[in-house]
Amino acid sequence: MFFHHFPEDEKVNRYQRHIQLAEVGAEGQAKLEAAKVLIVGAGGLGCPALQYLAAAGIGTIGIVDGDRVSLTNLQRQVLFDEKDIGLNKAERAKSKLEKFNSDIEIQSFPFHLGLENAEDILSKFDLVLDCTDNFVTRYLINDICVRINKPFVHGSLYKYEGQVSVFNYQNGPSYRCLFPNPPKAGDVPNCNEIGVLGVLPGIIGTIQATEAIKMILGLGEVLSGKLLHYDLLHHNQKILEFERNEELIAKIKESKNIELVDTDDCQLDVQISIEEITDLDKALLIDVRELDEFPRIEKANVSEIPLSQLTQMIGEIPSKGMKIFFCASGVRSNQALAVAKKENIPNCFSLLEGAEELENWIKK
Amino acid sequence: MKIEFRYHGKLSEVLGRNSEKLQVNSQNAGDLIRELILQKPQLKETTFQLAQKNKILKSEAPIEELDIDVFPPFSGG
Repeated sequence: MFFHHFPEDEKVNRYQRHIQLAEVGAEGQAKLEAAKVLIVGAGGLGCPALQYLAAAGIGTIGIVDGDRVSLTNLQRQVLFDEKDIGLNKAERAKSKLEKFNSDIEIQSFPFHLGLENAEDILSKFDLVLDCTDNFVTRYLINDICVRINKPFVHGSLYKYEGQVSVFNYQNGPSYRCLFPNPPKAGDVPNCNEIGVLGVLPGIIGTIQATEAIKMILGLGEVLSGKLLHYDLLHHNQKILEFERNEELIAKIKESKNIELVDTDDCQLDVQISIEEITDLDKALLIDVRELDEFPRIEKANVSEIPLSQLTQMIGEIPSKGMKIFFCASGVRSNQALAVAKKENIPNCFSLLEGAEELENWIKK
Repeated sequence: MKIEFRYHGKLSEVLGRNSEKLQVNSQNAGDLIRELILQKPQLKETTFQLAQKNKILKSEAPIEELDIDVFPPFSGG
């Protein structure tokens, strides 16, 4: 990759409006350049946050996202366009941002954040933005950040309302101090069923970027120990104070292993449509129908593991590479996905279509 | 005493209203949560926190206000 590094005077020119601020100056701009910020989730919140962080000249930006761009994303995920559909979000975001600012380093992690990789990735950065869309990853980010002493900026949405807070900052409280108990599985609607006004993640993601920049520059008051609650319909804002729960923090720090919370929400947003698969030959297709169901799919990269035997045969699924479960209609493949997730097998997807549509697609 | 509860996020949908006044007897937040769930069993399976005067209440915090905000965590992004 060719990086076009601007000479020093052009840099001054580029960030002039920052440098003109007495509270920022050239020193502040140098702090932004030295900063390493990780954005987990390049979706509704991540896209606007990334744009402003890249524009501000954050020297190193990491992007984690295992999802692919779909048409329904374009209503709010403003970094992407129609040509990106089917492509990985972290990689597309990286390539777009490099055009905005060729003077910064952008790293993409084109897979989901999980137990197996979270600590490694988070450790490489000074500051994390939680722009995810599910409680499983939110609690995972929190617990890892508490253990490795990393501050993170939380942003989350529901329809017309958003929440922002900064956790684990200078001995401040964590997400679990605010919400100790993760919602139960039944408490969480499937993420695909919830509407959201497209501008809302724009507002909330931009506030997350604001907090990140303020923390790096030491400007103003950071939302540590404070939950900003914003209601777009009436522009009602509340800032709610809460305290650090020493007992809970100690528990997270001292526990031997981190456990995923069992709120089974959008973590399972790994349903994939045939059209979204960029290379059908590269993925391992796992047929979870019983062996007497037709049509059988004759293809070198198809493996047959009926759902009824999946748990016993789980060792046969490689952890490397993309795995796509399919069945007759997409129901059992979802169950297979849940089994794989429980076993911590990364990079698994469930095919939205059934075997018949898959066969037709292959013939085409 | 009668307290006005203001429901945020999906709680307003679960309960079909943004706010309501309820007759309650609890003296602290922990008791008030239990009392609220008794009156509103739909909340039993949900996660939420109570706030008064823009402070999230610990369970032993005394109830001093007649307005209480009820906040769930959000997952969307």
